[in-house]
Amino acid sequence: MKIAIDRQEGTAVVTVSGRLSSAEADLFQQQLMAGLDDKPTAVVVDFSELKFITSAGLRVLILAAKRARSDGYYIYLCGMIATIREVFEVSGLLRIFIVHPSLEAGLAAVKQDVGESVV
Amino acid sequence: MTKILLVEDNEMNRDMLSRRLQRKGYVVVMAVDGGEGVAMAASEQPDLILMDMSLPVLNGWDATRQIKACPALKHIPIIALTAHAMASDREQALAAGCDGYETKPIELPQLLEKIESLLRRA
Amino acid sequence: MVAQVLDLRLAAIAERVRAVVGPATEPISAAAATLAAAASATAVADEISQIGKAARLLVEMVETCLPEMEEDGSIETTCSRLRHDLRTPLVALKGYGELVLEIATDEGLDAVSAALGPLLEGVADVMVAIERALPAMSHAMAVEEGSEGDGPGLASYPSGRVLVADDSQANRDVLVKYLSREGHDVVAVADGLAAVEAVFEQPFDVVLLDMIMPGMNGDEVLKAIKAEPRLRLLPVIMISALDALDSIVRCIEAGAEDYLPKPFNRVLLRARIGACLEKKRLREVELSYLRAVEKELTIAREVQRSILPKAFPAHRSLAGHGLMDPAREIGGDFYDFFALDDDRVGIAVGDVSGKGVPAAVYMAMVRTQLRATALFGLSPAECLYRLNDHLSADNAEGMFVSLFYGIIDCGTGVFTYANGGHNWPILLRADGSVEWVKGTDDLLVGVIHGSAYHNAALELAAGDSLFVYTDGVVEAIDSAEAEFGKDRLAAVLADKAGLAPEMLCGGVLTAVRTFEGGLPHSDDLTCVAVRFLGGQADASRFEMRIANAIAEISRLISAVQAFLLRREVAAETAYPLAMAVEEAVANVIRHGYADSEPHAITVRLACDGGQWIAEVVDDGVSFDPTTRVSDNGGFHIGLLLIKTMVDEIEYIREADCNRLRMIKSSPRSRMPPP
Repeated sequence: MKIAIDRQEGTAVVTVSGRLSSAEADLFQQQLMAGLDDKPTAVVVDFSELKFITSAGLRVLILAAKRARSDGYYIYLCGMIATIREVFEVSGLLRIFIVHPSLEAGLAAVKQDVGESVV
Repeated sequence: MTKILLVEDNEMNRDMLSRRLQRKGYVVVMAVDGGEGVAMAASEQPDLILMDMSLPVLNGWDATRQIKACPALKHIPIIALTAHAMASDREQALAAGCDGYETKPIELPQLLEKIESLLRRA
Repeated sequence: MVAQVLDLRLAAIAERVRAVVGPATEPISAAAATLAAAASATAVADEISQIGKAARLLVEMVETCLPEMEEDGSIETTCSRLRHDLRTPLVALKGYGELVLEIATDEGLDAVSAALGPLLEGVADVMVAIERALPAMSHAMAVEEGSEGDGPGLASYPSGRVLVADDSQANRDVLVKYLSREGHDVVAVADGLAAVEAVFEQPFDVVLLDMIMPGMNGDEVLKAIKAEPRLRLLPVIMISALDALDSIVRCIEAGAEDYLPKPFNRVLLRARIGACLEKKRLREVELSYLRAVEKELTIAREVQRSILPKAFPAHRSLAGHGLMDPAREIGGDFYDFFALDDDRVGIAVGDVSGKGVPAAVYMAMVRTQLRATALFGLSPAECLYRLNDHLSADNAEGMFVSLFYGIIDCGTGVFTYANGGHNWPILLRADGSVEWVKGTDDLLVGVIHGSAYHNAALELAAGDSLFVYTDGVVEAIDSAEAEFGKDRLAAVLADKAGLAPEMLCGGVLTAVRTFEGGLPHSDDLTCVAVRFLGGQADASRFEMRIANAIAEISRLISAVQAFLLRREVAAETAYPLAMAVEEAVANVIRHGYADSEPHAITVRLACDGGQWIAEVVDDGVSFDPTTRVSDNGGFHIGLLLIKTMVDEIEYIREADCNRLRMIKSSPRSRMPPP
């Protein structure tokens, strides 16, 4: 697994690639949570290079979603391959995350959502 | 391929041990002090760490403690390499969280056996 | 004044190093030079140049030895530092030397190999010389010099039981005296055979073996000890003259821990024995730690095993089987099945996030709470909703469970279920066709307080099976890291349609383990198969019994809708019929009972020619809706609705029961509403 967190103005863009199972989950949690420490206005997670996820990975995302909820912003998940999307679908997690087909679409949505809420 | 992180400040011994391990089929990555050792444990995700105890910047005991305190890294077995053949060195290494220890000069067959048994356990 | 005295002591140490270690380094320099000159050495040129460098460094360090006092002002620390520094080039020499020997042996470089023997012997000699010049403890020097003041108390090493085997009476006496003073319990024997007898009969912590003894030599005793599994870990130290280094190397290869040169050096003896005992003690610490970890795993496994149901509830229309193959580190799977009443059986399969003891404890909690909720007869969605509220109320750890829970009505074959984030089960029809039991995509249980869960229903025909499983099945990987996957699972099951549940579970387990090809699995593998053997009524009829609770209505209606859908009843008939049933049952539950006791309500559906007939039977107070429609009572709106939805209603009171029949004509033959 590789994780990179890039800040585009208020938006944290998180790129995760490879596998996200119990072996990698602790590190993912550490890095993702550290990335949320300075309260972004939105978090966009690019999953296009993610190949595999297990419940340990889902757990970290759920913790992040809870934190986002209490800090008042949303997490946008982008570019999931079909098998990963199915895991989210089966887990019912599509109910608590905003999902976009690509990073570009996710960023455009953030622009619109955050922009509208400012106006 | 088993990847071993070798943390050793002495250039000659680092070169020697890495050659011997490579010859046995291991992939060896190297760090020259404790600080670099901790950083590389995280970035390289080795299967096992060989940690010299008397290191500059951050000594082996403290480096081991830092690695063992990190949830993402604590599963990596660490074998302490102690130069003094003194009981207290081993005790300290074990107290710091090392999973095994070997005294220098290394007896390679014994070290290889320890490496394999720790890898099997992990 | 004090400083000056210390400086003198440092100078004395330096002098001692030059005098004792200096001559011992000469064979090393000579061997390094021979190696550098060996013609065939290009394959190992790098290593040989490093050997030359290390040899020069060693010589230089000994020649220019000028120790500086360590910051703590202790001679002992200073000696320790110096010993460490001097050993550093030796560590390199030994390592490179053994490496080159390995390569040279492989490649047949005889000239190189020949020079390495003397080099490695030289290294061993210099090691000994360093220990002589710089004893490990400064006060040990005083002891050696004849001070008798120190008792066993000075030993910083643990004491233990030592066996000494040496044919020389003088050597035995010296060793027994030394070791006893160190606080060890010593047994001495004079030949190899006695040594073997002693180690097989009594417990020892370390054995000192003379190399040359009458009858049975030290190396033979060593082999006998190492061949006995019970004694394999018993450390053995060989006693030998320094000139027998070859045989020492062989003994170390054969499993000896170390060697002790003659004549005995008290400090060396003490250090070697101490190191053995220390190693043994640490090995015991390691072992006890391993045992503790193992015990924790056993506890988790025990918790997991103990919560699994022992047997599937006996029922004439239903057979079932559950199987769990735990991973080494418990993965948090569980399954459960229980009879809710005479006709209904609950089936649950869950997978808790995380591993080990925390997962096992959470799993036990989930199972207990699910049973407690389910046994009230609540619908699956209602159970998951309540369970979710309990689990998510105080869940800082972010744990959760994917949970599938369903209820089979054995009378009708209707299976009502709710799915909290679990893998879609498989419905395996009697003819071998496979359908995914898709859920309502509701959320994992324990994540968000107040999440909604939905019931869904399907109808089982005689010979159909349900197969519920966990990730351990579909996420199993083979040596090429390919996943077992859903398609492979469906194919395995399609082949086994009509087989008993045990065979379905066992067949899938075998298929998965074969697929993995012996690779260790990191997750539990769990599956439950349930086979419906056929209800009491024929498949064109529907019958279901519910409790008189409002929460039961959604379960009933799901089942009614599933039944009508399967009969391919057109929506314009099915929808009003289901709605009429819902209204009628709701009326009975709300207003039909004079007491607060539990009652059963039976609902039947049947098709008679072009008509569908729905029947609701209850044992509530006598009430004839056909004569009460125009009343101003509380339920007339519901009754009016029923009248609108169906074409005709009939009422009979018989055997203390109300029997309401609602008749709906199919669209083509529909009569104009009255």
